[in-house]
Amino acid sequence: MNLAFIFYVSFALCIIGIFGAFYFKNITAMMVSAQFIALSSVINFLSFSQILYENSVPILSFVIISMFLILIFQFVIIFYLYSSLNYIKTAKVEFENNLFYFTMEEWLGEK
Amino acid sequence: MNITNIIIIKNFQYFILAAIIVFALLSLIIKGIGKKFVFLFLFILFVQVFDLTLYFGELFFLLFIPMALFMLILFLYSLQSEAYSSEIVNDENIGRDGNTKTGISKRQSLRGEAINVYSRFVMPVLFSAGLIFLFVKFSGDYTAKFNAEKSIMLAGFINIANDIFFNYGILVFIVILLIFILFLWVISILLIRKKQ
Repeated sequence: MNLAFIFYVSFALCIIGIFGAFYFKNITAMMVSAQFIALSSVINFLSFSQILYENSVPILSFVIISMFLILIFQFVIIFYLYSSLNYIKTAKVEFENNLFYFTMEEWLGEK
Repeated sequence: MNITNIIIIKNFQYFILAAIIVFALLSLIIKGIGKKFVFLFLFILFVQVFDLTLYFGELFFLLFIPMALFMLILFLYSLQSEAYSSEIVNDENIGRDGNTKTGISKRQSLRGEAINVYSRFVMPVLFSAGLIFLFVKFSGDYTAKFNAEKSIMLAGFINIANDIFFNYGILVFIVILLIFILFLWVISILLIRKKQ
Protein backbone atom coordinates (compact mmCIF):
# COMPACT_ATOMS: atom_id res chain seq x y z
CA MET A 1 0.00 0.00 0.00
CA ASN A 2 1.29 3.39 -0.96
CA LEU A 3 1.52 5.46 2.21
CA ALA A 4 1.05 8.70 0.30
CA PHE A 5 -2.37 7.45 -0.83
CA ILE A 6 -3.45 6.86 2.78
CA PHE A 7 -2.10 10.31 3.64
CA TYR A 8 -4.21 11.95 0.90
CA VAL A 9 -7.35 9.99 1.80
CA SER A 10 -7.09 10.88 5.48
CA PHE A 11 -6.51 14.51 4.55
CA ALA A 12 -9.65 14.43 2.35
CA LEU A 13 -11.59 12.98 5.28
CA CYS A 14 -10.24 15.70 7.56
CA ILE A 15 -11.26 18.42 5.06
CA ILE A 16 -14.78 16.93 4.82
CA GLY A 17 -14.95 17.01 8.62
CA ILE A 18 -13.70 20.61 8.87
CA PHE A 19 -16.13 21.77 6.19
CA GLY A 20 -19.03 19.97 7.88
CA ALA A 21 -18.16 21.33 11.31
CA PHE A 22 -18.09 24.89 10.00
CA TYR A 23 -21.00 24.68 7.55
CA PHE A 24 -23.77 22.88 9.43
CA LYS A 25 -25.71 24.47 12.26
CA ASN A 26 -27.18 21.25 13.56
CA ILE A 27 -25.26 19.74 16.46
CA THR A 28 -25.68 16.18 15.13
CA ALA A 29 -23.90 17.07 11.89
CA MET A 30 -21.18 18.83 13.91
CA MET A 31 -20.62 15.73 16.05
CA VAL A 32 -20.47 13.55 12.93
CA SER A 33 -17.89 15.94 11.44
CA ALA A 34 -15.87 15.78 14.66
CA GLN A 35 -15.88 11.98 14.29
CA PHE A 36 -14.46 12.37 10.78
CA ILE A 37 -11.61 14.58 12.01
CA ALA A 38 -10.79 12.25 14.91
CA LEU A 39 -10.87 9.12 12.76
CA SER A 40 -8.75 10.69 10.01
CA SER A 41 -6.10 11.42 12.63
CA VAL A 42 -6.36 7.83 13.87
CA ILE A 43 -5.87 6.48 10.32
CA ASN A 44 -2.82 8.72 9.91
CA PHE A 45 -1.27 7.77 13.26
CA LEU A 46 -1.75 4.04 12.76
CA SER A 47 -0.68 3.79 9.14
CA PHE A 48 2.43 5.91 9.67
CA SER A 49 3.46 4.04 12.81
CA GLN A 50 2.84 0.64 11.22
CA ILE A 51 4.43 1.22 7.82
CA LEU A 52 7.31 3.62 8.58
CA TYR A 53 8.47 2.53 12.04
CA GLU A 54 9.13 -0.87 13.49
CA ASN A 55 7.77 -0.31 16.98
CA SER A 56 4.17 0.86 16.91
CA VAL A 57 3.25 0.10 20.52
CA PRO A 58 3.67 3.60 22.09
CA ILE A 59 1.60 5.29 19.38
CA LEU A 60 -1.05 2.58 19.69
CA SER A 61 -1.45 3.18 23.42
CA PHE A 62 -1.57 6.93 22.77
CA VAL A 63 -4.30 6.47 20.13
CA ILE A 64 -6.40 4.25 22.40
CA ILE A 65 -6.25 6.58 25.40
CA SER A 66 -6.78 9.77 23.42
CA MET A 67 -9.70 8.32 21.44
CA PHE A 68 -11.31 7.18 24.70
CA LEU A 69 -10.96 10.71 26.05
CA ILE A 70 -12.41 12.31 22.91
CA LEU A 71 -15.33 9.88 22.95
CA ILE A 72 -15.98 10.49 26.65
CA PHE A 73 -15.97 14.24 26.09
CA GLN A 74 -18.40 13.98 23.15
CA PHE A 75 -20.53 11.55 25.15
CA VAL A 76 -20.68 14.05 28.04
CA ILE A 77 -21.83 16.87 25.72
CA ILE A 78 -24.60 14.79 24.16
CA PHE A 79 -25.63 13.32 27.51
CA TYR A 80 -25.87 16.81 29.00
CA LEU A 81 -28.05 17.99 26.12
CA TYR A 82 -30.14 14.81 26.05
CA SER A 83 -30.75 14.38 29.74
CA SER A 84 -32.07 17.92 30.46
CA LEU A 85 -31.48 17.57 34.17
CA ASN A 86 -33.03 20.85 35.30
CA TYR A 87 -35.96 21.42 32.97
CA ILE A 88 -37.73 19.85 30.05
CA LYS A 89 -36.26 21.02 26.77
CA THR A 90 -38.57 21.19 23.82
CA ALA A 91 -36.39 23.27 21.51
CA LYS A 92 -34.04 21.77 18.96
CA VAL A 93 -30.41 22.58 19.75
CA GLU A 94 -29.34 24.48 16.69
CA PHE A 95 -26.89 27.34 16.61
CA GLU A 96 -27.92 30.75 15.32
CA ASN A 97 -24.89 30.90 13.03
CA ASN A 98 -22.19 28.46 12.07
CA LEU A 99 -19.07 27.75 14.11
CA PHE A 100 -17.36 30.96 13.04
CA TYR A 101 -19.76 32.93 15.24
CA PHE A 102 -20.58 30.48 18.01
CA THR A 103 -20.96 31.47 21.66
CA MET A 104 -20.38 29.40 24.77
CA GLU A 105 -24.05 29.42 25.76
CA GLU A 106 -24.98 27.83 22.47
CA TRP A 107 -22.48 25.01 22.99
CA LEU A 108 -23.83 24.30 26.43
CA GLY A 109 -27.41 24.19 25.17
CA GLU A 110 -28.52 26.92 27.55
CA LYS A 111 -29.67 29.32 24.88
CA MET B 1 6.13 -11.47 15.83
CA ASN B 2 7.05 -10.12 12.40
CA ILE B 3 5.20 -10.22 9.10
CA THR B 4 7.03 -9.98 5.81
CA ASN B 5 4.15 -10.50 3.38
CA ILE B 6 1.83 -7.51 3.10
CA ILE B 7 0.75 -7.96 -0.53
CA ILE B 8 -2.39 -10.00 0.22
CA ILE B 9 -4.46 -7.16 1.61
CA LYS B 10 -2.91 -4.40 -0.50
CA ASN B 11 -5.79 -4.08 -2.99
CA PHE B 12 -8.34 -4.63 -0.26
CA GLN B 13 -7.12 -1.44 1.44
CA TYR B 14 -7.89 0.68 -1.64
CA PHE B 15 -11.45 -0.60 -1.62
CA ILE B 16 -11.83 0.14 2.10
CA LEU B 17 -10.43 3.68 1.82
CA ALA B 18 -12.80 4.44 -1.08
CA ALA B 19 -15.72 3.10 0.96
CA ILE B 20 -14.66 5.27 3.92
CA ILE B 21 -14.79 8.47 1.84
CA VAL B 22 -18.11 7.53 0.18
CA PHE B 23 -19.84 6.65 3.46
CA ALA B 24 -18.45 9.78 5.14
CA LEU B 25 -19.93 12.00 2.40
CA LEU B 26 -23.24 10.15 2.44
CA SER B 27 -23.60 10.32 6.22
CA LEU B 28 -22.92 14.06 6.14
CA ILE B 29 -25.20 14.93 3.20
CA ILE B 30 -28.29 12.79 3.88
CA LYS B 31 -30.84 14.54 6.08
CA GLY B 32 -32.94 11.61 7.27
CA ILE B 33 -31.76 10.54 10.72
CA GLY B 34 -32.18 6.80 10.17
CA LYS B 35 -30.24 6.62 6.91
CA LYS B 36 -27.64 9.09 8.21
CA PHE B 37 -26.81 6.86 11.14
CA VAL B 38 -26.80 3.70 9.03
CA PHE B 39 -24.12 5.27 6.81
CA LEU B 40 -22.25 6.60 9.85
CA PHE B 41 -22.24 3.09 11.31
CA LEU B 42 -20.88 1.71 8.03
CA PHE B 43 -18.24 4.46 7.95
CA ILE B 44 -16.99 3.65 11.44
CA LEU B 45 -17.12 -0.08 10.68
CA PHE B 46 -14.95 0.40 7.59
CA VAL B 47 -12.46 2.54 9.54
CA GLN B 48 -12.12 -0.27 12.06
CA VAL B 49 -11.75 -2.80 9.24
CA PHE B 50 -8.95 -0.62 7.90
CA ASP B 51 -7.28 -0.85 11.33
CA LEU B 52 -7.66 -4.59 11.05
CA THR B 53 -5.87 -4.61 7.70
CA LEU B 54 -3.01 -2.69 9.35
CA TYR B 55 -2.75 -5.62 11.81
CA PHE B 56 -4.26 -3.73 14.74
CA GLY B 57 -6.83 -6.36 15.58
CA GLU B 58 -7.37 -5.19 19.16
CA LEU B 59 -8.46 -1.74 18.05
CA PHE B 60 -11.45 -3.25 16.27
CA PHE B 61 -12.95 -4.12 19.65
CA LEU B 62 -11.38 -1.40 21.81
CA LEU B 63 -12.54 1.52 19.63
CA PHE B 64 -15.60 0.16 17.86
CA ILE B 65 -17.65 -0.68 20.97
CA PRO B 66 -17.34 2.77 22.67
CA MET B 67 -17.96 4.45 19.29
CA ALA B 68 -21.09 2.37 18.79
CA LEU B 69 -22.30 3.36 22.27
CA PHE B 70 -21.65 7.02 21.52
CA MET B 71 -23.49 6.71 18.21
CA LEU B 72 -26.45 5.14 20.01
CA ILE B 73 -26.90 8.08 22.38
CA LEU B 74 -26.34 10.55 19.50
CA PHE B 75 -29.02 8.72 17.50
CA LEU B 76 -31.49 8.87 20.41
CA TYR B 77 -30.78 12.56 20.92
CA SER B 78 -31.20 13.29 17.19
CA LEU B 79 -34.51 11.40 17.12
CA GLN B 80 -35.77 13.44 20.05
CA SER B 81 -34.65 16.77 18.57
CA GLU B 82 -36.13 15.86 15.18
CA ALA B 83 -39.50 15.08 16.76
CA TYR B 84 -39.57 18.42 18.58
CA SER B 85 -38.23 20.40 15.61
CA SER B 86 -41.05 19.15 13.32
CA GLU B 87 -43.58 20.55 15.82
CA ILE B 88 -41.72 23.87 15.95
CA VAL B 89 -41.67 24.16 12.16
CA ASN B 90 -45.41 23.61 12.09
CA ASP B 91 -45.89 26.27 14.76
CA GLU B 92 -43.71 28.79 12.92
CA ASN B 93 -46.08 28.90 9.96
CA ILE B 94 -48.88 30.09 12.21
CA GLY B 95 -48.75 33.73 13.34
CA ARG B 96 -49.59 35.09 16.77
CA ASP B 97 -53.20 35.67 15.82
CA GLY B 98 -53.53 32.14 14.68
CA ASN B 99 -53.44 33.14 11.00
CA THR B 100 -50.81 31.94 8.59
CA LYS B 101 -47.96 34.32 7.61
CA THR B 102 -48.41 36.64 4.65
CA GLY B 103 -46.61 36.11 1.34
CA ILE B 104 -44.33 39.19 1.74
CA SER B 105 -42.93 38.18 5.09
CA LYS B 106 -42.35 34.69 3.75
CA ARG B 107 -40.48 36.11 0.77
CA GLN B 108 -38.37 38.33 3.04
CA SER B 109 -37.52 35.41 5.29
CA LEU B 110 -36.59 33.32 2.25
CA ARG B 111 -34.28 36.09 1.01
CA GLY B 112 -32.64 36.39 4.43
CA GLU B 113 -32.26 32.63 4.50
CA ALA B 114 -30.55 32.67 1.08
CA ILE B 115 -28.08 35.38 2.19
CA ASN B 116 -27.42 33.44 5.39
CA VAL B 117 -26.75 30.21 3.47
CA TYR B 118 -24.44 32.09 1.07
CA SER B 119 -22.43 33.64 3.90
CA ARG B 120 -22.36 30.30 5.73
CA PHE B 121 -21.15 28.49 2.62
CA VAL B 122 -18.39 30.90 1.55
CA MET B 123 -16.39 31.03 4.80
CA PRO B 124 -15.93 27.24 5.24
CA VAL B 125 -15.12 26.85 1.52
CA LEU B 126 -12.42 29.54 1.74
CA PHE B 127 -11.03 27.98 4.92
CA SER B 128 -10.95 24.50 3.39
CA ALA B 129 -9.44 25.84 0.14
CA GLY B 130 -6.67 27.53 2.16
CA LEU B 131 -5.92 24.28 3.96
CA ILE B 132 -5.87 22.31 0.69
CA PHE B 133 -3.54 24.91 -0.86
CA LEU B 134 -1.13 24.66 2.09
CA PHE B 135 -1.29 20.85 1.97
CA VAL B 136 -0.60 20.65 -1.76
CA LYS B 137 2.19 23.22 -1.58
CA PHE B 138 4.12 21.74 1.34
CA SER B 139 3.41 17.99 1.21
CA GLY B 140 4.84 17.30 -2.27
CA ASP B 141 8.42 16.84 -1.08
CA TYR B 142 7.35 15.25 2.18
CA THR B 143 5.48 12.30 0.64
CA ALA B 144 8.40 11.57 -1.72
CA LYS B 145 10.64 10.75 1.24
CA PHE B 146 8.54 7.84 2.53
CA ASN B 147 10.41 4.57 2.83
CA ALA B 148 8.23 1.75 4.02
CA GLU B 149 9.64 -0.81 6.44
CA LYS B 150 9.89 -4.26 4.93
CA SER B 151 8.95 -6.14 8.07
CA ILE B 152 5.97 -5.18 10.20
CA MET B 153 5.71 -5.87 13.90
CA LEU B 154 2.41 -7.05 15.31
CA ALA B 155 1.52 -5.24 18.51
CA GLY B 156 -0.60 -7.37 20.80
CA PHE B 157 -2.71 -6.26 23.73
CA ILE B 158 0.01 -7.38 26.17
CA ASN B 159 2.51 -5.00 24.53
CA ILE B 160 0.04 -2.12 24.78
CA ALA B 161 -0.70 -2.84 28.44
CA ASN B 162 3.05 -3.08 29.16
CA ASP B 163 3.66 0.23 27.44
CA ILE B 164 0.90 2.01 29.35
CA PHE B 165 2.21 0.50 32.61
CA PHE B 166 5.86 1.51 32.14
CA ASN B 167 5.75 4.57 29.91
CA TYR B 168 3.27 6.75 31.76
CA GLY B 169 4.36 10.07 30.24
CA ILE B 170 1.41 9.81 27.85
CA LEU B 171 -0.96 9.15 30.73
CA VAL B 172 0.28 12.18 32.67
CA PHE B 173 -0.11 14.41 29.62
CA ILE B 174 -3.63 13.17 28.94
CA VAL B 175 -4.71 13.45 32.58
CA ILE B 176 -3.48 17.08 32.61
CA LEU B 177 -5.47 17.69 29.42
CA LEU B 178 -8.56 16.07 30.96
CA ILE B 179 -8.30 18.21 34.09
CA PHE B 180 -7.94 21.34 31.95
CA ILE B 181 -11.04 20.46 29.88
CA LEU B 182 -13.07 19.68 33.02
CA PHE B 183 -11.92 22.96 34.56
CA LEU B 184 -13.15 24.91 31.50
CA TRP B 185 -16.41 22.97 31.46
CA VAL B 186 -17.19 23.54 35.15
CA ILE B 187 -16.27 27.24 35.02
CA SER B 188 -18.47 27.86 31.98
CA ILE B 189 -21.45 26.08 33.59
CA LEU B 190 -21.01 28.05 36.82
CA LEU B 191 -20.87 31.35 34.92
CA ILE B 192 -24.07 30.59 33.04
CA ARG B 193 -25.88 29.49 36.22
CA LYS B 194 -24.86 32.77 37.87
CA LYS B 195 -26.27 34.76 34.93
CA GLN B 196 -29.59 32.93 35.17
